[in-house]
Amino acid sequence: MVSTGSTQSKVVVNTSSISELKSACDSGLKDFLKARGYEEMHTHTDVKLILGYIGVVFCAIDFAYSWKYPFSQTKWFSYISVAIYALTSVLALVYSYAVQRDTFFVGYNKAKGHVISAGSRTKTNEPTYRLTLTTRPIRGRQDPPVFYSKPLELKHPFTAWFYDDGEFASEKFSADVEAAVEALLAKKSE
Amino acid sequence: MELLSNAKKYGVRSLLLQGLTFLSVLTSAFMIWKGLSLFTNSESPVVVVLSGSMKPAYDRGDILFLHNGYSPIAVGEVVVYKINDKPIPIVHRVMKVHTENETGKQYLLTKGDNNNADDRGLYNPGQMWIQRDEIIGRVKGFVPYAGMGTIWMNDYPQLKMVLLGTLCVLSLFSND
Repeated sequence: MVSTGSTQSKVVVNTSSISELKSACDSGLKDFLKARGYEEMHTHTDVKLILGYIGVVFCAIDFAYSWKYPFSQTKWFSYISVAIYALTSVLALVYSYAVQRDTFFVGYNKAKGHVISAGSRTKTNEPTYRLTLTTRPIRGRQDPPVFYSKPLELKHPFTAWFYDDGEFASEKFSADVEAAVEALLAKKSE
Repeated sequence: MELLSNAKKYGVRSLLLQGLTFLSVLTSAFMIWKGLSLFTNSESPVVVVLSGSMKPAYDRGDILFLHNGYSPIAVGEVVVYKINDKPIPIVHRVMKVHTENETGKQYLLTKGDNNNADDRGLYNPGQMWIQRDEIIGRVKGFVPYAGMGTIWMNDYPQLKMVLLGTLCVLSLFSND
């Protein structure tokens, strides 16, 4: 979703679905950070895409090869392709659970020289948005000076950000998120 | 053109991700099958019995689990073999085995339990024996009649279309 200036399209969700509430907030935060000049970094997606398509390519070659030639002749290649497919699948899974976790946005701001990444979680039957914001300097940049900060955790009930009919109150959300981002960056400069 | 405009709207990555999600259904199934093939040394480790020639042991529609391995075949084992140039694999019992002393090469004669004659009529013209490398696997386990669906789909190709159509319609209504 790309926000076009101040005239954002109205977002309406089913307020009894926690996953809908969460994804509305996630994209709300994305829009907010993008509007603040944070360019999205796609490293997490790229890693998973590369791993995934390496597996697909080996699988396709194996399929074509064993379609054309008898089993005993193509076995040597199947050992390789099955091993590589298994390896890339496991790596993608490990990456997703151990590295990416709940991160849904990573963005850098060239002018300010830092990266913000945002992850969010919810718990079943608890309509609370749990946002984790972290920041780090852009790699290789020494100006402004290097800071790493502790992650900032924000726990907020969804009810504050949605009207009764399920419409997303983006101004209220943006105000709360802005405070959180400022707190995060203030922590940084301590 | 729609693809291009979508790529512009959502980004190439999200298209590639969607493609990957779809492809991984196919590739993971194929790779699991290949892995099983390598483990059992059998090009087709799971087969469906197509005829009643092994009655009463195995009936039409039974699913068989095969393991080929590399060891020699013994008399009395039920094997699945595929004659060169013939597309359909056959499940029959080994009646006679001749083994060459020096090379260990095996010559086998098979017969269906429910058939009156041995399989020489099924082999290629003039072929008296089948060889070890024509064996796809030995039967290690079976599930009675679990493969009936496959047989029906072979007998009535329209059924395949109906099933495919139903799956497509269902996938439209499922929310990821």
